[in-house]
Amino acid sequence: MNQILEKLVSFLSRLFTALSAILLFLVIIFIARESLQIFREVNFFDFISGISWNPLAREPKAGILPMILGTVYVSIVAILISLPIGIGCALELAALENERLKSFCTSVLGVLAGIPSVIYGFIGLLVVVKFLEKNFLLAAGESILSGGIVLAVMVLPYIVSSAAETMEKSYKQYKEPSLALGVSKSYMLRALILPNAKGAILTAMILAFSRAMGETMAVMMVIGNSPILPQLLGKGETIPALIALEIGTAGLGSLHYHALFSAGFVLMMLLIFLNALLYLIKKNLTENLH
Amino acid sequence: MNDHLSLKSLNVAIGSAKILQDVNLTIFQNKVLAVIGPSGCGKTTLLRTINRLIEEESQARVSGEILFRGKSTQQIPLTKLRKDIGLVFQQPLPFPMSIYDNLAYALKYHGVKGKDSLTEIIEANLKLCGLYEEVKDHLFMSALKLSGGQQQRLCIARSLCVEPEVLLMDEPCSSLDIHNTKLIEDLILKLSAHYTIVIVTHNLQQARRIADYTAFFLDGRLIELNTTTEFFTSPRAEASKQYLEGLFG
Amino acid sequence: MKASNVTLRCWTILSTVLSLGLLVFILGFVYIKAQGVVTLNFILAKPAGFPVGSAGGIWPAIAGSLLVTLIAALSAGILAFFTAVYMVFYCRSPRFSLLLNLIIQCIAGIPSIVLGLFGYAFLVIKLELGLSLLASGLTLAIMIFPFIQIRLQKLFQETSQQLLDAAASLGVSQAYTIFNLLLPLYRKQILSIVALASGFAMGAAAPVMLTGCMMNAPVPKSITSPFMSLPYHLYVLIGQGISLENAYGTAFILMSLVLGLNLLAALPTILRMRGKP
Repeated sequence: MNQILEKLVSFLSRLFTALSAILLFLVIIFIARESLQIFREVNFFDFISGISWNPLAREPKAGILPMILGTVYVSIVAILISLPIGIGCALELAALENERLKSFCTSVLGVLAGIPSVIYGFIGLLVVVKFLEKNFLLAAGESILSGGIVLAVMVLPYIVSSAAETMEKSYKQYKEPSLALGVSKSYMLRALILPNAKGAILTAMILAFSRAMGETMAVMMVIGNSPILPQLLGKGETIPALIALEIGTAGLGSLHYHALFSAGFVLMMLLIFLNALLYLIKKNLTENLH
Repeated sequence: MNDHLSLKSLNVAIGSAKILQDVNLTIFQNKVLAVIGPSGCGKTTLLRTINRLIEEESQARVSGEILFRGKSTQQIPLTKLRKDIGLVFQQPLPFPMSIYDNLAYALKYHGVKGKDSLTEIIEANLKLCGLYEEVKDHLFMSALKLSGGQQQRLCIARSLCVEPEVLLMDEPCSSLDIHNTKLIEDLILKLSAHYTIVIVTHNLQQARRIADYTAFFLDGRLIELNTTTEFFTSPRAEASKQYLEGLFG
Repeated sequence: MKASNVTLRCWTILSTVLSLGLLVFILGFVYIKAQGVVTLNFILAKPAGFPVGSAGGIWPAIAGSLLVTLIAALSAGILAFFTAVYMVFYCRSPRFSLLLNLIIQCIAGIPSIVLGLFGYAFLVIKLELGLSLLASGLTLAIMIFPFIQIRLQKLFQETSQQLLDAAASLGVSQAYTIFNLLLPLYRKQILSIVALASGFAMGAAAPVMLTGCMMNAPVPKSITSPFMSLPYHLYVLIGQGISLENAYGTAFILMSLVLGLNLLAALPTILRMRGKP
């Protein structure tokens, strides 16, 4: 009986591990397969550097440069806004002595991370977009900036938790030797903990960047969705938004359909690369600590 | 002979555990005091109470009084107190920055400005701790790359940089080899001309070699304070005698 | 010198207050605006009116979201559990385990919309599952699988080696230890991780809108039926300007369900804190 159970568990764990490893390649291959067909008609370089998107025209144009730039642009805006707030918050949490208060703050940030992206988009539309329309006298508040603001809130918890983890470790480690020299905690945070967290801040940035680039709904709802070269206060479109909006109307097997898969493929490879990089940096950082 | 620090009916408890009980101890200026006793007798807590690092522990309760130059330590601002009373830990813990920055860290906080004066103080303290010759070409190398003995001497130099009057040392040699132990003992003897030093040690021979006075603690109580020579040749208390004979501890 | 330290404190404290304040604002905004919309009828009725959704309730969307989340949580949970068990207890080669970890990290990097594309091309078309609850559930499962796996693996790795050695020295098999020692020990944590992941799955619109979720559908009768989901319904209500009022109501319900799952996930931690003196 025990023998059978052991065999079964051993078999199942191998089977499911193989399955999960295959999953990645299955996804990549499938997306790639559906993508490649477009390159019979448009060459790859034109695809990623073309600035006009009109796959349904008689002479179809499939250039996704505006969308690539749009995706990168909103993500950068998001990080510029949320990084200073996130790092400040992480420093404060790292130095918080009250364990209960700290765990309360961590759970609040956890809840913030768990709020569905449509809700962020919904509130973004009703609050951020309205605010921009009123205060910046924009004809339409839907813009790269509003996308960036909404995304900034969404990636904030990831930045905080990623950075706070390392800062907390070094705070605990160096607190006593630092205090014994008669310096204040604020000075320690500024002169020791913050400079020592460079690696962690970099990881937090990459993490936030990859989160932001892959986000669909929240950005799509506030960014305006026009396939034009993005400007901070103008409309733009991201790759995920492009796919989400157009896949429903793209005929199976049409050029339009394949173009959308290719756009997804480009985004996916970029994000997989960022995530692999993130994993390796993190691994290096933790190994250097020991 | 001046009283530099005097502890008056000091009691320390952490949670429900009484760590130090009714300790009355005088620490003389520019002398080396060795604090000895079996593990868990409160030696480390004693040091942490003197520079008030103990107050960072939420469970700790302290009663009694510590006078530093005749003034209660509770009336001295924390950063000032800790600047004047340095502490060297058992495990050397250099900050994750260069050798130079390790020493400049607290100096900058305490208001030393200008690269020249910083460098001057840093080099002087490295020389004092016998580290200068070894590291003078690598001042901007990460301090984490130093050997254990070098790290401990760096930590002593770091404490000395801010010009303390008293130096508390918590078993500073326990993780070091004989060579580095010797270097640090020589350093302590050299420093005792200008500093008041309290060193916690497990090593009775070390206490004998470097200390002017020896205080013996047992179960949180001060059993005996005596000159080192007398303590090791004719201890007054029965417990001291037994401890020296190796009956416990 | 002193001034820059004060600036630093201002910066850190303001950041923290702002971060925490955001949650209060978001919750407050949705809950206040949704007052009066959410009634028992709103929860239990079908969407009605023209265009659909401008009147009536959202029951099919609630049911659809719950079902699709259940499918996702079950399949991702099982896959992640066995993968984590393999990595911690059976995999002997550190290089292979590094590679597997890297692969899982890469799956975590796939954006949800691309998973939607994959679900559509592979599950819906190639495997002929059709636009269905099952196709959506499995797509969501791929999305939350890395989240669960990474946490389970960390959890199992933290089991003290002494405990495992003690179990092994009694002569029992790995599998016996896993089911009789590990599972009871970590039951609460495993449930909490899966609950948290379910919250993510429930809130995701991008993967389901490509693989089976509809603007209007009845409560699904089987796993092959198309369905409605709360996040997509919310998106449609606002995106097409159907009803702002019902959008607030839908957001309220969606957020309450997700927060409920979050709370469930936090329960072990809360109970542990209570236990402490």
